[in-house]
Amino acid sequence: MLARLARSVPALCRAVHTPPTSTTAALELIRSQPSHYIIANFVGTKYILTPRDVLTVPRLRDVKVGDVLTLDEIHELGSREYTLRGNPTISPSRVRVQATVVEHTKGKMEFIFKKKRRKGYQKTISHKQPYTRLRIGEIEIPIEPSS
Amino acid sequence: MPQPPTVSVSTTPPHVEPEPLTHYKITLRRSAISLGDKIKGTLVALGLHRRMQTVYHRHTPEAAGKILRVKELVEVHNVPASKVMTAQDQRMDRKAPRGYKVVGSRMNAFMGVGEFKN
Repeated sequence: MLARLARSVPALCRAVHTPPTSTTAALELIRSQPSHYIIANFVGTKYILTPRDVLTVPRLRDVKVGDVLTLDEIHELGSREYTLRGNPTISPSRVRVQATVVEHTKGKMEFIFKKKRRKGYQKTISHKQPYTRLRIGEIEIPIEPSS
Repeated sequence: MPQPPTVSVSTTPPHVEPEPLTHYKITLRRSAISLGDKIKGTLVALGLHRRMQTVYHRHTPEAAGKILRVKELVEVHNVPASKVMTAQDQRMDRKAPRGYKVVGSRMNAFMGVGEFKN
């Protein structure tokens, strides 16, 4: 009896892991799980983002503190066991993620020391790289695809 | 009794004139280091200053002659006038999309006071 069970396990696994036929079915599977992540393209770079993350990016000059941004280019949406990959992006009607600009900061002070030996030339440049920090909001997967 | 002539109508799309290919798209693939001032001068005359740079020139005997001088270093395609891009156009083409859109502001809503302006 144990041997019969052992023989049916691969078939059971195959039944659980048949891929869903439609995007709605795939999103249902993902929505059924408690936590999600997205891979979004933000100003040319891809980041793996989850809700309540703080994303630090090079300073965005066209954005003010407190502004709310929608992430337009989402390449992948997933949960612990399921992933939906876009072609190349997932339509914004299927997934909605917002991010709030938290601050415009600068990094820690860096000292760049330049010297040419035996020529009497040396200088120290102090530099702070400007950054913008964003707080990622909830990943919304609406039941009916919104416009 | 003679049969009426059968006319078969096939729907073919109307023939669109392909755009005339009027420009050379020249890309520098190999460097001219140690090839001498004359070849370097030809590349500068074509407007090519670094490898993988692309320039567009109208089909003229002068442009053709310059290309023939540096033909081993350069890749050339014939393109129509609509595909010609200036350096700025090429730069904008390479730029990645922002990936975000400003939707509103939370400055009026803080610690549960005020409302989120959309």
